[in-house]
Amino acid sequence: MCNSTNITSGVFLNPVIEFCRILMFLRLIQWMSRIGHQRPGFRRNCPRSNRFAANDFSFLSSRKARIQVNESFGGLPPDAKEVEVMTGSGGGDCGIAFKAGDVYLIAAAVGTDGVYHVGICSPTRRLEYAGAALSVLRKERDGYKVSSLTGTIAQYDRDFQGTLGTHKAKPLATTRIRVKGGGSVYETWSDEQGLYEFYVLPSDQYEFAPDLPPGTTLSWFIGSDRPQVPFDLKAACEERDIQVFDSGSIQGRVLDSLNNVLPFASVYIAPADAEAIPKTSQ
Amino acid sequence: MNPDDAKDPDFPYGRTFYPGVHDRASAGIISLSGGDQIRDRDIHLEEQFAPRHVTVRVTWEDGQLIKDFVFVEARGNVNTAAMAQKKQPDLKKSVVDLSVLPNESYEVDASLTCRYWDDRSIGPGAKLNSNQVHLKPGDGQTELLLIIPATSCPELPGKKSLHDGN
Repeated sequence: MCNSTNITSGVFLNPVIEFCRILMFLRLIQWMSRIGHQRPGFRRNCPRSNRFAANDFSFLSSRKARIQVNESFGGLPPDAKEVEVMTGSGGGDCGIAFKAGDVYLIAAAVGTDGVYHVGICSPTRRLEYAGAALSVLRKERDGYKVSSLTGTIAQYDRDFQGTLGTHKAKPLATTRIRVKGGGSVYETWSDEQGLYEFYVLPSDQYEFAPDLPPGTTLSWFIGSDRPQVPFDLKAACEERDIQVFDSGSIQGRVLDSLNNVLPFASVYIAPADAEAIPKTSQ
Repeated sequence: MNPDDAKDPDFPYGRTFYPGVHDRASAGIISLSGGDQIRDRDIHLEEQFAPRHVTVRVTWEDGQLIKDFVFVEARGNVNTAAMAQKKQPDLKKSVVDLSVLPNESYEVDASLTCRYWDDRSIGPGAKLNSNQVHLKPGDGQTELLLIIPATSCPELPGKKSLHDGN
């Protein structure tokens, strides 16, 4: 017996999307919720995964969502305005907790039962987190050349309300992005949404070298000036976001009354104008 | 430091703001602009109390040392928030150095979870508890002996105990 959820709108990916793409985005989602760092992306022409070869998605069948289709990237009839997809209930069954009124980029798969199924092990995400994927999908659908490396560049400011959280990313518009690899330097500019694209990059190992705003760094580790780890570009299209952080740092020691260093002491920092000091037990 | 102002015998320092004051109004403010690399902003702490250290020895009832992880716990019996727990760090000694608050009364005991293994698996079994010892402020005790009322872990058919050979 299925419960039904009404969704006002969604953007639909090809329901017979390559399975490797599903796997790539699985990693991406895990990454966004945990660390918020470089995300491996969106590759085309990848081999299929044996795991999903049987197309048995019966485990994603306990809830049914009705989706209003705003835009499709293939696999649906041209006049499809609404589709129903099956998903799980959450709690470990890989279901997606769709919320009525939200807009999603949905990657569904057709199961052996001929029905659309969607789970967390797919690129499905709320549209606000679609990033460069939407642009690439539109180009791919409309027959335009697709970039070989794309993503967004955005600044992440510390959120002092949490332990190690950040505020919502601020896209860095009109920023010069460079990648270095194979003895060459390639450059492009981000658009108003911080989206950047490189075309026809040869397969190689690259590292980012964008023009950063003053007082910022590419390193997540506060006070560190270590360069980012180079990445291999092998696929025809890859998505990588560039995350920019404030580079300011405060260093000091924690000393006891005899000026001995106290190792492993936890130090907290809060804005001087904050009304309350966060409790560690909160 | 210690924003909750918790009384922790392993960290006997109260809530302290930079550079070493206890009230927020007196705290020094560090102004940081984008890209600033500020150094040498040390924080100085003063001990609020001297923790009481107790050496706890845990043995089988025949006096043999227990060559496995033994958990020793001290629970405040007036201030229930006062609690200290330690796991013996040295499997050859069966001795735990426990820090507690100096002005609290505690009940101290130890527990050992027997572990078993066979060719396919390893897992926990019976949990054995020691006697309980009362610790009062100013009672002068610096060493405690806790005894697990057995000479080994109970046998399980088909399983070997990690404590075999004690």
